[in-house]
Amino acid sequence: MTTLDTRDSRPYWQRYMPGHHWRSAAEEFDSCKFGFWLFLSTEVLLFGGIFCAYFIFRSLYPGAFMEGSHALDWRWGALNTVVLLVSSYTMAASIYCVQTAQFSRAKLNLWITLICGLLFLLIKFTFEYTPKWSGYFFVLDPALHHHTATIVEGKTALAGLFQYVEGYGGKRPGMLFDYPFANDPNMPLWWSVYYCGTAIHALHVIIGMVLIARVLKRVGQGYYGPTHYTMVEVSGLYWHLVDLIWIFLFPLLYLIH
Amino acid sequence: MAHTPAADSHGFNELDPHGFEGHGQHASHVIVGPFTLRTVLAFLLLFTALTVATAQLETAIMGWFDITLPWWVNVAVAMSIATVKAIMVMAYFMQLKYDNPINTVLMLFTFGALAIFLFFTGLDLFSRGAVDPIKQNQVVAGGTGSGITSKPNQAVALGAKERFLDYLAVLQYAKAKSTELTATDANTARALTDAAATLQRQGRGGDARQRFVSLLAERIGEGTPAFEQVKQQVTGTMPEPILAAAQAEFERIHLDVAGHGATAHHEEAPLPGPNRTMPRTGTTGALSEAAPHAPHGDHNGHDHDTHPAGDHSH
Repeated sequence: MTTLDTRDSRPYWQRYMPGHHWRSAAEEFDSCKFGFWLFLSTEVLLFGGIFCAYFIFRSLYPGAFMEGSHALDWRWGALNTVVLLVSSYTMAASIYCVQTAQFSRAKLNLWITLICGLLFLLIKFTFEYTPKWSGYFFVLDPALHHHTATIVEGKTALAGLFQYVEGYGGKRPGMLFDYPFANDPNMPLWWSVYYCGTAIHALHVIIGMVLIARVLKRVGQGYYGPTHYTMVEVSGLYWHLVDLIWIFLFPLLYLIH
Repeated sequence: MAHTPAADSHGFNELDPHGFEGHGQHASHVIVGPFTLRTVLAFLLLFTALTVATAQLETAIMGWFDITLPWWVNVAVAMSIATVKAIMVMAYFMQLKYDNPINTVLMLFTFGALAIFLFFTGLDLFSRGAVDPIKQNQVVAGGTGSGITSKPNQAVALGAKERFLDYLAVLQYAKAKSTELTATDANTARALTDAAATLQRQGRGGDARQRFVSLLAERIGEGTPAFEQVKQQVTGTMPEPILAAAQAEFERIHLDVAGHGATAHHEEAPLPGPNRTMPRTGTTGALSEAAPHAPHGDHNGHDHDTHPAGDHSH
């Protein structure tokens, strides 16, 4: 006797049927996208609040903001911008690959996106935040040779990976969120805006990376394909928004002259 | 084909509402090809380089032509380039160009809401001076006050500058008085002339010298030979400006206001002037309200005129 194998062995993305409340898969896709754009508009308004704070305090105290901006190195900001732009490209490319069923290329592009996101966070924490907070520079940091006069020989951390520089650290909130090192009485406003803006952005980068990691795993499992890639598209939208925010943050924070 | 025909724009087919006969919808969405994506990436990187270049160009232009660009130039240029980049990301990477227009409308509305937010904030911020001139936004970056065009700002900037330069002159005089081994009139006159030269270097006109002369009268005593000598030098042809003493004094004041000595100060160039000219209320540093007297106690009767009797600590 022969038995019929009635199990549908196609990959999930081919078997996928939208729920009954949808008229078609296309309608589901468009509605999901529209809903996600609604969410993105709330994210824009979130960062809009931070930009408004920036606008107010820069207008009131331009000297403090200019001095504060000089404490930042625009080259790290520019590098971060380039990293995020490339990651945006690879994210869009991965959507293209999923749409054309090139799954291994899609996974490669998603991996590159993830690595770029990680690189962004690494650059931010290692070269920008850590020296300012603690005075410890990464030993390969090019900015370290500007401070040869104030390097404290022998004072290193993390098995010699970080070198202490006298007088550079402490650019962080004090006990009551004052910034006691500041010459200018309005510098705390600059530092608060800088840390809030970049840290909330970094949080969004982490969230984006979590989404992309999940998509990557599922692409590997055959979950997404040319007829079902809503989640890939939507994670891409989130990642592009993260990039957009940084496009605005970079000149406002790093390029004040 | 055995498929039931005539799907509408959403792929909805009345005769086959669940799409059982569709074997999955074909992607009715536009596929943005890699050539487009790479072109957009190239433009984005180019614009990033442009942003950095224009920012540095502004600094260079201000240096070459010795002018001060208005404060909004930097922001306007940077934001225009950023807007162009944002439009490219949204249109091509986020595929707004190929989508249902409602998504674009939504985003435009969001940015419009943000613009309203910033607009009303700006209306409030930039009109504070109309109510109370001292609440006018702070003088522009650059520190010399040379870029200020609005009247209330000018008055505030000039007043602060005059006050600061008065302190500078008096400090130099005090320093001269305290460091000279013999209190000769020549030394005093030279120190005071230095201070006067500083004032001239700052571009102050005749009435500044008048005030300086009256300061001298107060400190030295009108009618003394020293006073006459300095007065003649100040109101006559000024010698070459000597900045060193004034600069040294400025550095000393700068460090004193910081309160941390040199540790908090980065090796970069000294601060631009502006916030030095606004005295910090409540400090006891060099820029506090109480006029700094000569370090070794110049008790010429003007010592405690700023403190009410019996009130020695605030």
